[in-house]
Amino acid sequence: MLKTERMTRVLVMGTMDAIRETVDYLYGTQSFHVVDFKRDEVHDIGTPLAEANEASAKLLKMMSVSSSLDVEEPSTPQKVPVDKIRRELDAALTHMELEISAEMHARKGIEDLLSQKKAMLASISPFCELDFRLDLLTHLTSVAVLSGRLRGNPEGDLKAITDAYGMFNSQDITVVLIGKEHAEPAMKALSARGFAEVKIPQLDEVPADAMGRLNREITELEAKLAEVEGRLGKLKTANSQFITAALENLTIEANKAEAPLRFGTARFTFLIDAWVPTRQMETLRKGLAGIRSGAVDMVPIAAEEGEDSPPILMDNPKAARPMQMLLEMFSLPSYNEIDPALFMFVTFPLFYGLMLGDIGYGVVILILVLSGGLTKLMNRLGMSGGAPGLNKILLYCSISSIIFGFLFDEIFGFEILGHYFSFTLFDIHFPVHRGETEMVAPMLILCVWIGIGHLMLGYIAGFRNVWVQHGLKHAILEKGGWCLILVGLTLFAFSAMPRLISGEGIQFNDPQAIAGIALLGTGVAMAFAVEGINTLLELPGLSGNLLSYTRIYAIGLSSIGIALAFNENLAMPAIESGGFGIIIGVAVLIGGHALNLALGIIGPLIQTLRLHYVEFFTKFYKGGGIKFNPLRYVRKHTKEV
Amino acid sequence: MVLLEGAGAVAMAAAAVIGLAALATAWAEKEIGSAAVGAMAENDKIFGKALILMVIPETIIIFGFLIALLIVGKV
Repeated sequence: MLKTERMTRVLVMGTMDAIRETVDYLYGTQSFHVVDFKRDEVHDIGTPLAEANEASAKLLKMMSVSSSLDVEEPSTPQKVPVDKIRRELDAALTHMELEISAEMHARKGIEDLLSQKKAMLASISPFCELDFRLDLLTHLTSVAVLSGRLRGNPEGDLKAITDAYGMFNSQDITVVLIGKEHAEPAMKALSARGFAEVKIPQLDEVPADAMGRLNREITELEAKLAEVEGRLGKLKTANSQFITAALENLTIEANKAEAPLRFGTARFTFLIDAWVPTRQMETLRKGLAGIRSGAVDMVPIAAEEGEDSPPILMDNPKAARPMQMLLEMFSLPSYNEIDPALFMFVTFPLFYGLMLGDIGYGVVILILVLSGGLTKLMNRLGMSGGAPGLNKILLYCSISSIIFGFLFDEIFGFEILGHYFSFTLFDIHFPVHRGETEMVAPMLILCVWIGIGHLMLGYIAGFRNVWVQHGLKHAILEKGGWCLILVGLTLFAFSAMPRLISGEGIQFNDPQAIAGIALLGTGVAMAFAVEGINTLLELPGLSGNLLSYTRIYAIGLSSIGIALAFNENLAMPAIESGGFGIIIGVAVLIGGHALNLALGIIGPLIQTLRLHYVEFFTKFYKGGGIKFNPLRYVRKHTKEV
Repeated sequence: MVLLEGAGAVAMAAAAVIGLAALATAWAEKEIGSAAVGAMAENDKIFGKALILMVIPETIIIFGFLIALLIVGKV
């Protein structure tokens, strides 16, 4: 909580005969973040286990089987026991390879033939109206044959050359037979009509007969191809589950067998450099000691100065874990930093709810999340990776929206509930209609107060980070200084702003203003001592940060504005006009609120994220941690018994 | 010669403030957004950082919104 999981650098060492069991143990516990071993005088980089070659070779074969059958991952995985895979793998692989290669060979032959026949058909089809054997045209000695495509009828042009010619003219093709001595002028005349030559195919049949025969042959070949495809399809359905499972198991086995590539080995011993969670140290050590009655041991070592920092494994209560996704998206906390996921677990839904604040929209989002509709939508948009995390975050956000929807009395922009329930708390009469003019000022001030609180939390977290990283004095001067600046600015602003707006002018003799300026000055001096001129440069940024929190109100107002426009200006007049208008009105309501809901999901999400990333994180968070990535595997399609 | 006065002038001023601020935000985000998408095409792990850069100019419109509210409501 707040801290990431503490890590210890360890060396695992043992005798070579125990390496296989050690690898199994490392993968089994999923707690070893292995650091690639660097060669030293005694130890060399390890070599893969003996079974690596076999596993990789089988994996390669299985991949080729899978890709030639075009196997897809079954959507509802059934777990195949590992020992069944091991037992049946070799036989199944041989069988499938044989079948597939036979079928693939047959398919290739048929496809080649088919494409030949189709090409032949295409070359004959322009001549289909000629009712004589085409090879009669290709053996002529004294007559030139010109065949091709052109525009219009060249009869007149040819007559001008000679009367002794023969011509066949159809939509597709023109064939001209003319004495060789006239061939050249005839060619010129045809070229003027855009003549493009079409070769006469070698054919000892009448074109129409040949086409009939080819068409019959093509139909037969296609039927055969369908048969082969059908057999391949059957092979695929019968085996796809086994293939997927075998692929998974072989990948795991190959990875395990290659793990020693990251270890150091000498002639009789091996050495593994790794990070483990400190609180698991003892358990892991005992577990390793159990391998071959003490052949393996694990000792903690001091991480050397300047070496890689420990990997980051975030450690939060289960409820706050979805927020870790937002940190992964930004940058993981570094090892000595506060992990802000727990803060965000509170503030993120709070800001979101304040922005959206509508029972209707909240309930719709809740339904979308719980029914899995959102997951489907994200899958369709190709963002399936973010769906599980976003689902949980939006679950919190929708609940918070519903709560604020009660406080703001909004159901799809309608103010209905206020007639039935109201209460007074801290002199504030609920429900608060935040869209009304007299609510503008209080809401804006509330937003700035939220900003002050949020930034103060950021500075306090920053104080702790600087303290750990650079010492207490530095922390007091830098972050303590900024805390004073924030308090001073707040005091001064709340003294000056009302007077500035009412036209009275700033009263510098107001005690609150004096105290504010004094604190601000002290804070600047303190922070200046460590940060130098940067403090002065960042000062205007702080007031900008505070005003930036008014977006909480602004986003809410725009959402109300859109809802009101659809409700009162478009839908209600239509519905009140009765008859056909009711249908139009309802359609407008559904369409309009769907649009507003889409904006209402995306807008507050981005804006809340921004308030955290830009305003909040810049006060304490640097990030840059490396993810804890232990040796592990996930079995989706297989199970160990 | 008085071209505008009273409520009309106030409304026009507020509209100009929020409109111009929106324009400025849009302009800035257009430049950043295209660069961010380009950078993300190279390396999609920088989504978080790209998002931050992308939304930084949004503060401009928030300021515009505040000033417009102050003008209209004299709050």
